[in-house]
Amino acid sequence: MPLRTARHDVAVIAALLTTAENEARTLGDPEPGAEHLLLASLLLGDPSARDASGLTADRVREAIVAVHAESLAAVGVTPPELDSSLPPAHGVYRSDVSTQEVFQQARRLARRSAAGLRSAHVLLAVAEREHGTAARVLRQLGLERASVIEAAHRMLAQ
Amino acid sequence: MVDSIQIPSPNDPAAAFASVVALRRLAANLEREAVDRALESRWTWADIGQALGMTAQAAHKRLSPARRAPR
Repeated sequence: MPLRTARHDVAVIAALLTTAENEARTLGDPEPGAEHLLLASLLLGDPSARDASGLTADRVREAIVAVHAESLAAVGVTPPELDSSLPPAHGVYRSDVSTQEVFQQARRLARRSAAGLRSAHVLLAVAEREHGTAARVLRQLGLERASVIEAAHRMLAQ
Repeated sequence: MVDSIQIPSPNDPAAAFASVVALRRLAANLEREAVDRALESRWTWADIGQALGMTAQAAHKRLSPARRAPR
């Protein structure tokens, strides 16, 4: 990998992690998961994830909240009104396993990309996950994982 | 807040796991909120630890507001 691409990738990863962490904490999760990386991919300067998915960050935020609310309702729990948001974190990045796995996969997918790591690689890596909150968020948004995967591949092939 | 806990269908582990994730998030949020209220009411970390079944040190380490925004 050319040094320039490596530097680009490091900058993209830093931007994704910072955004994902802020989004997670605003939504009340101390550490970002794959669903927050999906959000972060839509908020990057590179529009490939937005264009491939047709999603906006606002819709994904709403879907994350809805998935958790429905999963509570499924066991008969109505969440109380709580201010669940957490103050922004500083210093060392923290993330859960799903975030680390999405990053590893996104970087694998971007290995042969001349433009380096793109937001659509992250979208693709998230959509490949069969289980977990991110998968349920995509379904909540009316998207089939397979269609998202196909759209991301098409976008990256351009 | 809890009418009754219905066990999700064992035929749908994905739904059951999603409920577990959502309940864990809710428990963590409720715990943070309760700790904030308790501290406002002059509870000590020993009191909070006792109520949560942990030592004062463990409660402070995990739940103190200053520790929630890691430096």
